[in-house]
Amino acid sequence: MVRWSFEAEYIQSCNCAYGCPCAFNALPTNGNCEALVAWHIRNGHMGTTKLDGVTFAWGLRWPGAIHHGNGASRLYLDSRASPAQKEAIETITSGKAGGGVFAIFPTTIAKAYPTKAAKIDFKFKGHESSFRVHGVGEVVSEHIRNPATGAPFEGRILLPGGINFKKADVTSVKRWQLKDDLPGWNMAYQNVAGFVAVQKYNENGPVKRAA
Amino acid sequence: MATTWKFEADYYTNCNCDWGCPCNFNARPTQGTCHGVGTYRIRKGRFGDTRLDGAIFATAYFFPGPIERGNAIRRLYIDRKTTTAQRKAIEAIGGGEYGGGIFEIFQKLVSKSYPTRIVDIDFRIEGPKVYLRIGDLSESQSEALSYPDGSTILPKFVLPHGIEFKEALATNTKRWWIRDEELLASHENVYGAVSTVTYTNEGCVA
Repeated sequence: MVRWSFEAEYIQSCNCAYGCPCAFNALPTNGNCEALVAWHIRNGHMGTTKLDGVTFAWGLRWPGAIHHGNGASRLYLDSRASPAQKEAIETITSGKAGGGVFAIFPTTIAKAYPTKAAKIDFKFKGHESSFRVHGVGEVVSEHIRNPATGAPFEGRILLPGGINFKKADVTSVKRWQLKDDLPGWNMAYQNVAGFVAVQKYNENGPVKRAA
Repeated sequence: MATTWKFEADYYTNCNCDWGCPCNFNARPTQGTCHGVGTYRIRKGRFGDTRLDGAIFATAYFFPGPIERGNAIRRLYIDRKTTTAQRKAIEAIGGGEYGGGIFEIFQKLVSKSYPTRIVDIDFRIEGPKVYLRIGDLSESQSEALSYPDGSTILPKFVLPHGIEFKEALATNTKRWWIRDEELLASHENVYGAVSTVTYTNEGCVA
């Protein structure tokens, strides 16, 4: 297996309630899981291919809980990526090169649609992060608010055994949407679960960092 | 000036929500209502001149909707192995009259408070594993959460503004029940959390 690793800024949205029950192995709030997530690689490589600056998003859709499988996925790769970088990111997200979530999610996916190249704007700013996959969708996150006082809420989840992140800030995704020319791919949600993290990954999955 | 107090305690809470409890993140309770018990064993503490070391107490709250909408019923349970002075102190703290974060805030959301019960409380806590028995009125058992493949998760919350805890380990409450007048519930495989907490008049400080 080709060795790889990268450190990335990560923004997640899904259709669950704040905090996402799936983080604790509870069932998804609405019974199914739809998500649009994205990574912006600060620095990384796969074999001799440098991955610095590469941005990619993953559209994900399962009819039930993730581990019940039968999902669909599509990789959206920023159009500035080189052919070698495309090959690297496709290899990683296909589950052929390990990497925790990148290895496990493909085992739950029945249909992985061909990669789509698109311009991706990625703004990482803690709770107030956002990204847009031009022509496809966007995710806009912000602080959760205290329902009684309106004060911005800050909370984190630490997952020592996490397959996607070891530590993340919990956010509110003010809105996210994903519309693509694929069966059933018309997702739009407001005020749902979000996470932001800076996470390093390699063949073994997300790497735990010093606190 | 109000009596000052402080305690450090082993803490376990169980409720009727899914694992992780959405309320920790200001999402709505899983079933729409909130049945919750919080149990403390004070390692070291005092209320004014009264030492509280070793005292065990639990509070049960039932909210008909999300917590912030109020209208809760409540009862305080204090372990029989406490002195009269300790019981008074715990009633004062639990009643929210002397600040204390969750105690003060929850009291504003309570519309009916049953009289305190003095009962035997058996409270054993070791990491995610908890056994709790409150007289013949309530029982709860907790264990580590696990992924669908059986591997344990041990997820932690970090809540810098937390009124109940600042950090806690989320657990699976395998089973809990309570049968005490209107406080009537039985739940399986729901939320639990364990922590070591420090409270003062100012609220949960660690």
